[in-house]
Amino acid sequence: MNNYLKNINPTPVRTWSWLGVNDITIDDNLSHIDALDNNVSYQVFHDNDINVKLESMSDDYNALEVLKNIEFRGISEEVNNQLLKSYNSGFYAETEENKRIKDLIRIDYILDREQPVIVDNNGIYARENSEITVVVNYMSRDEFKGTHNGLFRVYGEKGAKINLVILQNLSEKSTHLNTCVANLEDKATINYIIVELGAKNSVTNLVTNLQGDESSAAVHTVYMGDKEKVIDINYIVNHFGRETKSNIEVKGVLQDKCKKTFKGTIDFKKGSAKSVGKEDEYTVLLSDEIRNRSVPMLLCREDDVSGEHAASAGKIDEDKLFYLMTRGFSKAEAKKLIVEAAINPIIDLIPDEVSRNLIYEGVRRKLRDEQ
Amino acid sequence: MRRKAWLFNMDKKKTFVEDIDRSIYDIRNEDRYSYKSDKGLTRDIIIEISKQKNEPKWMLDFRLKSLKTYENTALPTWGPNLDDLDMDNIVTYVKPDTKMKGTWEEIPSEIKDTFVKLGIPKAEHEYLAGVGAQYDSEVVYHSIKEELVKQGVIYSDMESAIRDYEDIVKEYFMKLVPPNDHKFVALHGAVWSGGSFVYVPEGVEVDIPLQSYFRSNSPGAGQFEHTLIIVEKGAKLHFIEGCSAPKYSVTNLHAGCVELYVKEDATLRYSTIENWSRNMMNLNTKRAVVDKNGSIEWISGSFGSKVSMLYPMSILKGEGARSEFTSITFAGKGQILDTGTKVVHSAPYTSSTINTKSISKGGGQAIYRGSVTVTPNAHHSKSTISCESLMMDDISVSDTIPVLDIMNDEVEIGHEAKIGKISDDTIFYLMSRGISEEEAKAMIVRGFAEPIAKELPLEYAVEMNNLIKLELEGSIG
Repeated sequence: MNNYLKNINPTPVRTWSWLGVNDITIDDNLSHIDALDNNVSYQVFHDNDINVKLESMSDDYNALEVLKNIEFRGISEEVNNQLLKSYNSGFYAETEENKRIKDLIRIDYILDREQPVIVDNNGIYARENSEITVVVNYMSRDEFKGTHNGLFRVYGEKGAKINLVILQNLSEKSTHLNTCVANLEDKATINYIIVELGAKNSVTNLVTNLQGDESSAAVHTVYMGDKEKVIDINYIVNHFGRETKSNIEVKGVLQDKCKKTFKGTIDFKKGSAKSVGKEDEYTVLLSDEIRNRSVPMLLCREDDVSGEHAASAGKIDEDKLFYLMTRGFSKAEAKKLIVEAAINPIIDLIPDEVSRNLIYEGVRRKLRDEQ
Repeated sequence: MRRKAWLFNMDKKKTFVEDIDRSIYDIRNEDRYSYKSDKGLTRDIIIEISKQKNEPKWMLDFRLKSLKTYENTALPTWGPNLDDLDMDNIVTYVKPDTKMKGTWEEIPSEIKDTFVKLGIPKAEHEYLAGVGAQYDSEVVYHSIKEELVKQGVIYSDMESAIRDYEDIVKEYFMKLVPPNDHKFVALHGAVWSGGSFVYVPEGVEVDIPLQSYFRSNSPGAGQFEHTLIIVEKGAKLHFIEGCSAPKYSVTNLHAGCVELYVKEDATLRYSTIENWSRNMMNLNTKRAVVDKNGSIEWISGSFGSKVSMLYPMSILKGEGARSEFTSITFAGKGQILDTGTKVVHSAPYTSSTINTKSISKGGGQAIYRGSVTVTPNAHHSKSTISCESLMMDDISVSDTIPVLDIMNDEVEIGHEAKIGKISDDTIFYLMSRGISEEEAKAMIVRGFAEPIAKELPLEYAVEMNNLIKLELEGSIG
């Protein structure tokens, strides 16, 4: 078995190889796990009279056919095979038509010495005009090196609304692979809130297919990279239907020797008239040994659309820093305040208080040693 | 004002577009040549080309080494499909039936007429400081104003430069763009022919532009001119490059190379209008290296060719070096124009701006491909990138593929890109002022291209506006 996952997480369109953004190679492999016997449990928190079918993933569900038919390229064939054939955990949630569930479902996946490998195959099927909110936490209980390989296949029927929050704060040596693919019918919506704080290697791939007219997607992501972390983010929104909307917002902080690549693609397919796509990426750089790569891609085969993207990076605004220091904050404290001000607006969106507080705490710890 | 009923009907109207009137470019002269190499690419062909040119041995060796590199290099794994390129059927060297001349009168009338029709001699009298005209593989005419010669400015064809200024040329030739850079640079290294050598000594400011015009006449031939420009400390130059070829049904290849050395405190502006015919594969490589406080300005208009892969590159090597890149790309029916720019900030306090516009219509594919790299030592670097794309219909393609690679925190980097069609509101507004729909669209597109037009010398700006006008004219469907 190789020690590397080679050339994974490819961009939809290739460019010059020497830039090293077409794909990535990470120094870890897919730890072998045996089949479903080795079922890893997850913790579930939700209101008792919540009106949703929520069970452990298995290959039996009827609605699963729709999810199974969702095609996705994902991170790599090897990674997909493990997810689909060797998963040892995962949940399946299915809503009822017209039931808008305001209470959220929280699912915690915990890695530790006893459960160092989690391969979770998750599915969410939202029926017509229903609404569901799921908050998923990936956490480590100790400093042990864990491996997490997760999949979310989401289907939204007409008018459905899915809020999917994925929060990752694994131990420093861990590897986190996450694949999401969502297919939406007319007027369906998916809102992602994603926070990446932990792991040594974090490779994520998110594809949203706005198939139906007036379907939409929003992605709000915060990541923090430090030490020698490798972060590889690959978001693709495919606009198929008319009047579809997308909005991708990514805010990140890079410290120490972190290496990060953000690949964000908005693809207007022919026929997606009157669609709007927006992407905004902002990275705060806190060290001169980082490597920050951005590939904001706009692909277009339809004229009656509006697409825009912006990417910017730099260190903390000197003026803001100075201002806070004149108010009595030390330089380190001022830096922390400014960084938090940049990323908190997204963290504030996390609907679950417990999870939100864990993230605030995680951010504070990361900035604690920052001078 | 006469009301038009359909003004109130919010249906989108499209204007059809006719193919641009290329008749002045499509003059084909009889294919008369004094020497034409065999088709394809072999050692013997290279040796023969070098012999025809009377080159020193080191150049022959260089060519043969490049040929080997070409054979051992793979095609790129990204970008447009190059299947139509069949090197076995390209003639790499066509020597026109005349030696190089110093005055227009001396050039054979047929060749001269072509350039006259394209406006070159007239331009020279009016406002250019020097002109080089290349017909197929050789430069047929070169001139340079007296005052410049007195100041020590050298403007010569590349072949003569190898003999007359051997030491300088040998020091710089294909060092900035070495043959192992990519396959078509290796090809260029093996079969290059023609092109210009320009040397501007320290402190000399050349007030009026120098111009080179490349004209490919022979069917199935390749154009491989090499341009080498050295602007010494504190000097200033504006160089204009124009090119065209008549349309044939066979594929022609352009794999030229431009190497620009901008020394300390020097300024170089390099303007190009690429208007190759629609059967041309345009795989050109341009690169500038800029020393301390030097500045390079690229002005580029890409209109022609079947497939273009064109990414002028600026290497900001000295502290305070600057690069400014402004371009417009217009991809029409049957064209794939993959263009962009690469900037490398490899010194502190360097800055770059990139401003690109692209238009796609009639099934054309316009692709912006760029990269901005900031190396770990390039602190206090600044870069602003702005890419705007206009789609004229739903059968065309417009892709934007930019990459930022930043390895220092003391930077200010911002990139933005927009894509869309001409706003209906803007059109209705102009029409409510009595302007026809097609004129409104033309005005908006001209406005879109204006930042580039105003940087070009008048004649080129006029040519560019004409190209746009012709592309857009049509009847309302």
